[in-house]
Amino acid sequence: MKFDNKEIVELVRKDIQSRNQVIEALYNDEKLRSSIIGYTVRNGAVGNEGIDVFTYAIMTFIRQCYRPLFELTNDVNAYLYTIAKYEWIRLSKKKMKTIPEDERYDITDGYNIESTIIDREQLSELKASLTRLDEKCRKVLTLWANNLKMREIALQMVYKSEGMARKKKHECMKRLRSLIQDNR
Amino acid sequence: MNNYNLFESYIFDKLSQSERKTFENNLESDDTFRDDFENHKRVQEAMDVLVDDDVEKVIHDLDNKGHDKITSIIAKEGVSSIIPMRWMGVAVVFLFLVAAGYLLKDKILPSSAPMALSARVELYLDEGSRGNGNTIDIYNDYGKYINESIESKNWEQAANKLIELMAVTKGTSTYDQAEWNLASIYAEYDTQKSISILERILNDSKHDYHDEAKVKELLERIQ
Repeated sequence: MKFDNKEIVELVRKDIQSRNQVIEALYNDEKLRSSIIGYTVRNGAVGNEGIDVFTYAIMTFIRQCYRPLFELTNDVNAYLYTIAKYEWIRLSKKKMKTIPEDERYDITDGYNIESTIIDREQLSELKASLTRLDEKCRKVLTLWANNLKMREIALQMVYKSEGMARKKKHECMKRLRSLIQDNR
Repeated sequence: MNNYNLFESYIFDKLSQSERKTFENNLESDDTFRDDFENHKRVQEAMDVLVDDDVEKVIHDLDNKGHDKITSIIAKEGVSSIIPMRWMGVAVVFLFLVAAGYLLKDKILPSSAPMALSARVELYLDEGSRGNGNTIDIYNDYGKYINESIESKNWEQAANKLIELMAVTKGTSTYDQAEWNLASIYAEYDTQKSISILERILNDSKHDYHDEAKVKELLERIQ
């Protein structure tokens, strides 16, 4: 399935169903999959490393779509390929693998890829903070993070009203902020 | 530009060169600004983690439909590895002391002044949004103005804005919340109006605040 740059971002933001359709289309895009896995294998990937990087690229793209200022200025496949290359170079550096020069530095394409990466140590801290949130709060924030409207959150959480959903989201966000602050 | 938009604009490289320079100078010289920015990044990253978990589930489902098995790219670290057992002991003692302090606080500390009537106002403003930004709605615009009026104790101005908000949100839960807030504001300067709203809320079983104990409590306090 071919998507227009603007259309694909809007589809992700529209609702969970259309977002999942985008994920499915990207994940089943054999050309994209083999280009990314091919790149990682040419540069020393073994086992599931290639598919992990492919999955990571899709996850990164989806989460970026939920940031209001994110714009896709290039073809989505090119964007995913760029993310995948960046991630593989990062992982290789960690494992001290060498990547030929010509495979490395054509990767930025005008995107601020650095801003999409969450430092591993910080990731552990964030996961610890999220683990300490109660199940309901985590669910409310997950729905909100996935761009659901307050009305939809109220429906899914069986809250009496949209106002109640807004209140719960506010309280959960406050709790999360304080947990993050405690962990810093 | 509020801080949310400013921080996002910096992260997504949407600031002009001079705005960027000012931003970076602030990061260097202003501890509060730097802390706010770091907290903003952490919260956004926490949202990213929640989205990742969700997307990962979708991909696993796709795998189950017949694709290669994937392994998670993100290490799954349990809390147990982050919080060693000896710290759990310290935490238990700490919790015991906190609980004891809480139970004895009334005996140790003088009782505090009763809460201001308007402190019951509930406005949960979204400081930012997800997706295309449409979730920042009319509620936020009114909410900001109402909060400012309350801070400056301009009760009448706050009440008028709440009445305006009610006019444009009739039939929604925002209306119910605005009505409760209006009763709390009226409690500061026009108790008769406040009582009449509170009684109406208590008599309306479909009202969002009908079962809330604070409605009865406020009514008893001002009567």
